[in-house]
Amino acid sequence: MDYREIDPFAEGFFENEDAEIAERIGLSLLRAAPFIKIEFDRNIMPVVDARSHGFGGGFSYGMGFNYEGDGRDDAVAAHPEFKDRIMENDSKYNRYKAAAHDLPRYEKYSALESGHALWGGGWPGHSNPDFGRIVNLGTDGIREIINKYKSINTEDSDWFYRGCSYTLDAIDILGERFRALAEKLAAVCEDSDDKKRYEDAARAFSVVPKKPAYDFTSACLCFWMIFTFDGTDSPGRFDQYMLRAYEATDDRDAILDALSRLWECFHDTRTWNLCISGSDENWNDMTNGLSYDILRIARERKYETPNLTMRVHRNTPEKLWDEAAETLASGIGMPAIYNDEVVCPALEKIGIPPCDSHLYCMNGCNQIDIMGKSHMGLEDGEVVFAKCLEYALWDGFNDVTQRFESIPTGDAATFTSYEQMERAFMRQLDYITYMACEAANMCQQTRGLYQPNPLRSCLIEGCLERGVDYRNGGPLYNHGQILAEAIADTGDSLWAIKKLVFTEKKYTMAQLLDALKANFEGYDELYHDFSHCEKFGNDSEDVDEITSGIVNRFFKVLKRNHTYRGGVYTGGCSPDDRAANYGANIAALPNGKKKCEPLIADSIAAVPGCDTCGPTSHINSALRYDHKNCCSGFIFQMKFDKKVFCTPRGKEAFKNLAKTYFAGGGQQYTATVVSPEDLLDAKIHPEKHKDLIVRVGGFSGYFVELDEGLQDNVIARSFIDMGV
Amino acid sequence: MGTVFNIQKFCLHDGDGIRTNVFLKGCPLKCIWCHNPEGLFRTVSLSFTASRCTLCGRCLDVCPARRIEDGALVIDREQCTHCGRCVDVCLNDANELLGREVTADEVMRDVLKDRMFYERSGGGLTVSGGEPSYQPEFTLDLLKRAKAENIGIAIETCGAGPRLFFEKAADLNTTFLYDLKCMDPDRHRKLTGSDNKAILDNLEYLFSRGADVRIRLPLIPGINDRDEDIDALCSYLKEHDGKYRYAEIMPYHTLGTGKERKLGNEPRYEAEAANEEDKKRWRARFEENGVSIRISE
Repeated sequence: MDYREIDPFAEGFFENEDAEIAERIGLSLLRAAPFIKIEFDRNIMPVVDARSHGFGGGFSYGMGFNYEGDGRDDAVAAHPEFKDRIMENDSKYNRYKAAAHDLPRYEKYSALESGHALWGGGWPGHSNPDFGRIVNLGTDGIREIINKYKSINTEDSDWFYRGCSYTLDAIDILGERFRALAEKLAAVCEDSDDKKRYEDAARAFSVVPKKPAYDFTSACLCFWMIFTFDGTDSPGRFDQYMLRAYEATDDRDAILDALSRLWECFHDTRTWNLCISGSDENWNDMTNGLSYDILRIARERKYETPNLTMRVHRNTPEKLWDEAAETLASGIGMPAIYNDEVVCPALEKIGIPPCDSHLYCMNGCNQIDIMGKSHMGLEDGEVVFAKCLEYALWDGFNDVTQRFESIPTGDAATFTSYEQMERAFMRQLDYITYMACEAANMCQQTRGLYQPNPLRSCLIEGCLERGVDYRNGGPLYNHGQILAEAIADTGDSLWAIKKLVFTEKKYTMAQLLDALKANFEGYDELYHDFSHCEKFGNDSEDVDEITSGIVNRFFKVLKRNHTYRGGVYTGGCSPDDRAANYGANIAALPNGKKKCEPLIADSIAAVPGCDTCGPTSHINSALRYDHKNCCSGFIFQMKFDKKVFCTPRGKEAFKNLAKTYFAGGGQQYTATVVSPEDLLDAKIHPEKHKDLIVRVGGFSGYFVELDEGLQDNVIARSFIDMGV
Repeated sequence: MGTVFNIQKFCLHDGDGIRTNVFLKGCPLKCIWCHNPEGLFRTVSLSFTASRCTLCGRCLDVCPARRIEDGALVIDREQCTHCGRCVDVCLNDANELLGREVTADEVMRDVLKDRMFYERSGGGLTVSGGEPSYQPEFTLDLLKRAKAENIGIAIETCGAGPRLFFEKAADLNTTFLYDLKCMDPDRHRKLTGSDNKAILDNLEYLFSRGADVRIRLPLIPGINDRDEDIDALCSYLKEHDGKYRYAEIMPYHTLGTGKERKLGNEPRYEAEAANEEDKKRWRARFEENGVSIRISE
């Protein structure tokens, strides 16, 4: 049966239904390769459009069958048995998920999820495949790896290697098709520059992807082809794995031409995260010419993607700092700066040796990954601290959904000491964290068993070496990351309770609970007192200690949970693009947050508007967290008035703040450069500010495209009056 | 003990690096444009922000000096004893007492919280005001302690203070951010309430000591920025060229007027903030006179 008109992937998939799933996916790629839609886009870069096929669209993120509404309805109708076969396979390969849904445990999880307390395992996550393997070794080089390890791993993994080999063959076919297409287009192209680009592409694809790239242009073409085939995730340490090709190219114009075309592609596809610079395990600096070229092009183009991150350490050249400050001052909110001195030890704490911890890069918004060696979840789940507090105050009851969702931890009105209150909260936090890990593991198992990804298995170290798929524990490191949300809100609330109820005894727990129930209506004085307690972000030791204490507890509990893939769970904090949504589903809190008000803390920073003592105090507070416990991004960002930041003094101050923060043990730092007037005006006249980029949590976005709650959040977030 | 009305972290424009400014209450001058009117007097001041007041009446219960008249809260400032009860009962943060008695220890504990930033950036403590020399012993105490902690020390001064203070401050190698408002003594008196003799004497004393002096020129459009004012400043600066690190114009801004109203006073001077035109004109005039000048950001 020929299903090619419906989906070129289907043919190979049904060719041998008795084979293991990894082999079937590899075979479907191979059979589809001659037919998958390919094109040179407007930048004359090669794009593999696997996503336009229902099956192919899902393969890189997991096997998916979804043909509804994608224009193939007629073709599907012409082959009624096709759908049956799809459905049969769907239920076969998703049976674990189906079974998991029947578990009582799953019901508990789903109640918590719909109560906005957590989520777990909802999506397969990012990773950073080592594109350098294709660019610098070629598929032939990867075949050598396969041959080497296939003979070692003799026990029942031939099917896995066959799946990978088919995938490499599919890549070669795509390369050959690009060569032919480029030749054809070069012949008819009238623009002399573009004609040359097509000719270059034709020449490049007569070598890549089978053999290593020979110059920067061929490396970029090869990279982009694989990157789009993989599903446009994150380029990772681009300035490192492209360096060989970059240095092999003398023609500066060719380098800049290729880089700027690639940059347009990143923008067109909303590419995730690109990381520059960093140190090796001996703290040698890895900055190179390409690192600087990337900072410059980011500054010129002012695009909000890719999410640009930069690694710094003890030997980072001053010039790189200056270029970074210059780039930040252009207003793009990037690069986000990461501190090797903290990230590497944090990774070493979970057992990643220095030779690999120094290979880290960022993925997605702000999560940390080991380039080409890991599947770290990114992210596996999320825990909303403020909801845990709500459960602790209401004995497991969710005041927004009006349901009992969590475990009972006692009637808070009867608590006679702060320790009781804290214990109730910690028990809720432990439980929610555990449930997030459990849910993530259920989903990981489904994916591990039934949704292999042979392309990533070829590009991530450990998979070919062990003969185990990328999703099934193949990579060298298989840790998981659960992120925390609403940290400072919770710390502020606990401190307010400790101070006003148990220390000063100005109010009773019962009074507080009544006020919270009433959303503070009619409790003006109580509201004033609770909302005016010391807040996190002002270098006030008591409240900072409580806030960092709950984060430490979270990390400690996480590390006791293991991932299905074979690692431990670690944590970080969420970017606040989700904060508004969570805030809108949280009841009134003792820090004065009103019921369902979207404004909640951004990542590890203070609740917006609560850091009233300026950036140095805010930094001192943030340094009370133990950043070396955090293996996912620990985001800390500040907003600077554009007109001041752009002065030499402002840039110098930024560098000094960042360096002090890092010397004090901070993990990540970045600055947004906008004026308050810009933001307020942008809210009223969005059409006039379409170019206004703000950094929200781990990413930069167009302000006018944010929803209103988030816009307010961005506006309220610590404005910094630079000492006027 | 000293009287402080604000401790501001992360100041970038009052000396080198990242600094903490400690604002002391009380000043011998009464410049009509003063941008820190809450620092004019050593006594505690009550600042009332009318826009926050909801006329709830809670403060009326605790304060006989207050009444509501024509839909607005009226405070009889003569009767106010600065007891602070209005601050305690107000749920809208409309009332604030400015000026608290603190020990040098307390101030330094707060200042030293940012030590890391000073060390990295070459910053430190700047004592400002008001006028630091108005509380000379307290200021010198702070400067001494900061110096012992190896952080940078500076004062922002109008120069109208006892010579002994400047002698001792210079002994500590303090950086002086030194205001020159007007060269003509009579007009100086008119604008600030006192002539400039002591100011110039002290400045020349600091010059003679080779102290680190940075001249600041608060220019108020239409008040002290006429051509002859600038020419007079220029000839003074030229005469003392090389004795100061740099001279910097502080363009007039309107922050002071709102503060005056909150203190219950009508601003003695009110105008638009200096604009780009003013700055262009100033720069040109200084250049014509051959004096190199900075204009504060």
